[in-house]
Amino acid sequence: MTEEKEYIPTALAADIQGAFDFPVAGEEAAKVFSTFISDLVKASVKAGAWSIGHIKAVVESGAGFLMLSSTTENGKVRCRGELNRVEDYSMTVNVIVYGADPLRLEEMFVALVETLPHAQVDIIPAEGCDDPNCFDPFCHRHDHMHKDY
Amino acid sequence: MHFILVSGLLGVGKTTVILDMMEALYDKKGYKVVVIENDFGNKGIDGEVMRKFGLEVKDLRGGCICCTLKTGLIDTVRVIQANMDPDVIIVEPSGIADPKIVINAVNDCSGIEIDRLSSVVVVDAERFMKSWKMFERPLQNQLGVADLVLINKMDTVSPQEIEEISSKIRDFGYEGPLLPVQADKGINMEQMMRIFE
Repeated sequence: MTEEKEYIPTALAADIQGAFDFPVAGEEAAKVFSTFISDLVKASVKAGAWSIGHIKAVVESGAGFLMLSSTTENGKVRCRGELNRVEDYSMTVNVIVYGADPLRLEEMFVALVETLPHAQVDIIPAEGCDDPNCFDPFCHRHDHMHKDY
Repeated sequence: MHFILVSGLLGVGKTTVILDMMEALYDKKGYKVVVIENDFGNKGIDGEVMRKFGLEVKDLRGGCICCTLKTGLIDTVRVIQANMDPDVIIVEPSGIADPKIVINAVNDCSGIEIDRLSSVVVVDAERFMKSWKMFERPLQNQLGVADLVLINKMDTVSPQEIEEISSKIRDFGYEGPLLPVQADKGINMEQMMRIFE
């Protein structure tokens, strides 16, 4: 893996469960989720990110799903998949950015989740392990030792 | 068995490239293909998305396949080969993995029969010129073992900028084929598959 510390990204992962007040068309729901991801990119930049590694989400609702991804600081979002009529939804979000303050990013993320319809969020903390050569910010294996094979 | 490693920095479009590869290998040629995903942590999204598209995906989580999970990768490949005997295994490491370590591990291990090993590196046309200096070392690692470099998101830049990106990639010492693609629309992906044949 890379060895420079500045390559260590700020990471945030979360599961979101929510529901619209009444069923909405897939396109309308997609717009809501796309705006959320775009705003999340802008929030990351405000939190100090100098580069967006990726901000990805997958939304599931009924038989439909939508994958959203943004990789540039302007917040442009690319989508794949399709949602049908949406009422209840679940969303998994994965944020990996470079340079953002983790606490500020999390605060902004939680504030943005409140803009989603009736959303509840479960944030998966990024800890990293004790191995100085491990750059996976979600690694929870404290016995983890990097070996040069 | 053809072992294809698809590397690239975060957000370059590796998953989209793999979805296109699957269309060419599975849908058009009828090959049996398995994808191994090594996403960050326990909230991998790429594997989920691939499953939504009906692909056979194995996840390796809780570490990076170029260090802690290297043994896990080898074991997974062995089990897949023994139980499923696929024509192709595609591996997508996380955006921070060093593909050279993965390639060395696969080449050095016993019990896996690989007829061909290909290393595809994906770069992002939109961000490459702004970011290559910041990620010089991981890029060097990736390009150092590349058999093919895809300049993805070609729709976001001009032909002249594609030339500049190509020139910079050559500056890294890479001498193999370079192909601009737009993976989300499948543009130039047939050409990519021809390079593999």
